[in-house]
Amino acid sequence: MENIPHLALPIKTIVTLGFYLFVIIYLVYSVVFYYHWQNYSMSKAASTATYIAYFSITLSLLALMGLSLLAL
Amino acid sequence: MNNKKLYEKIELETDEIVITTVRKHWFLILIELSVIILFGLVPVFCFMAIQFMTVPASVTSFIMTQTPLIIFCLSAWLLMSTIAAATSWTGYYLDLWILTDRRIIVIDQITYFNRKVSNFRLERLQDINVSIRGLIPTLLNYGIIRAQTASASENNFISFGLPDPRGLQSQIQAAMDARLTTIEKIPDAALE
Repeated sequence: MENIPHLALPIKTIVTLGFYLFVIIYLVYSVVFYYHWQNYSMSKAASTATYIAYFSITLSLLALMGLSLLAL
Repeated sequence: MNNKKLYEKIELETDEIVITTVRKHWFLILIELSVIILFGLVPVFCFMAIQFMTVPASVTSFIMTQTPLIIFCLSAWLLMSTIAAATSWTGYYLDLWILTDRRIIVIDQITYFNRKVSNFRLERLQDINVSIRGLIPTLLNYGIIRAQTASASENNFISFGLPDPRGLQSQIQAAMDARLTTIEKIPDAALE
């Protein structure tokens, strides 16, 4: 056990890395989501309403995550 | 339903008429979204429970001093729940059943990048079975439609959670009868 290198990262670094990981996952998912609604939806109104709901909620939460990261 | 867009997305034959388009019953998406919303609110329930419980002073001081970290984790949790809800909604909305005067088009959005579009010609349809099982499906009138096709190249189809399956069955039956009558008339018209 003594030979195992001890990695002690400050909490802010871990949270920052977690935030970047979240942003990458979110971006990939959003592209996939947008692609499906753009290509397969039969109603433009439903697509627009879905985009508004999805992006307004998720971008607000992502902004809140970023702001709380700054306050850490 | 914007039919112009429907025709652009799914290529219909000349003079083919869309009789009806059907999505799964609203109760199914309501249940899925309710579960996701409850799952998303779990941390809120936890904080409410903490307020009514006697917790160690260390926990209270952690909550008081690490508020930004708690907000970060809470936002991440809610973001994941929103993504789950978006996935569920996409699966529900992009699943579609289109009955035309010539065929049934079944679009099954199983997952992202897993989409199945099947066509079943009305003249090749044989038995159409409807089953409504359980208390909630009976009360809300949704169920399963199964149909067999005469063609060896086409599979039999089964669709779950369709609203008013008996009404849909009679619509299909009427469309099938009309289609068979039209097909029978074609050689006569050609002879004239």
